[in-house]
Amino acid sequence: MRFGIILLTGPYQHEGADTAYHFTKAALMRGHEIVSIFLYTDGVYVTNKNIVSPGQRNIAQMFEELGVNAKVVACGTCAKYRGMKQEMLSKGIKMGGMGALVHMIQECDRVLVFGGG
Amino acid sequence: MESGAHSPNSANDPSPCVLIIFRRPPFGTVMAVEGLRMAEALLAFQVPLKVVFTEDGVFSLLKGQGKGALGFGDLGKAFAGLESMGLPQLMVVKEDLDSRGLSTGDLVEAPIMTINACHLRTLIDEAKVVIPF
Repeated sequence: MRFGIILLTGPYQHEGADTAYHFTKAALMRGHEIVSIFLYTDGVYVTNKNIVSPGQRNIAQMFEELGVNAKVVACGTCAKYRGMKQEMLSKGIKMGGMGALVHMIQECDRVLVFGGG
Repeated sequence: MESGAHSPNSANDPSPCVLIIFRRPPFGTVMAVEGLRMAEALLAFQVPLKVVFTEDGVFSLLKGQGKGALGFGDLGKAFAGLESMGLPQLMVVKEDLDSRGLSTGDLVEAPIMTINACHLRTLIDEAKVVIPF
């Protein structure tokens, strides 16, 4: 199955980012395809490569790892509103517009939302 | 209201669509605004879209918002503007209006259809993608 992921929450405050990460890993291990992961609202913060988390999981590194096998796109407008710049993003992660979200929706069999209302 | 039979956002269009569900109140979090922004973008790309307001999300459709000193805009008016972008109607769950002492007369001037909670369940079943805000 071809999955798309939308993440609506930032790192550490809630578990949405962790759940999205573990879902993606499990889906890839079972042979599914992750068309892309679209980071929206505070979700863009999971790509902040300056995250330091002594003794704890590093969520930025986790999403960088996902980026090897799945396209990870941070909403450019959301990033702009939060002072995030391309050079602050983890390796391999790009900013994109709503066109990237639309493309994901059109290409996927299922879209899962983590951290929504 | 009547909806265009050939519009990608016709209320009667059986093609798989995106369903955005607004559950949060208009202020307090950014979710309502960001959901609105996503709805606008999907309409701009002509993605078949349905929009439902439920729970405290029904407050987003109240008229007369944004008149205070906080500097927030009128979110109700912004949601009403989705019609001009091709959304035939907004849907609101009647039970949630009733339980908050509201009626459609309290809501912005826009094509608004009241539905019941069972109808919302059907919309969720039919949608290809459900995005809650």
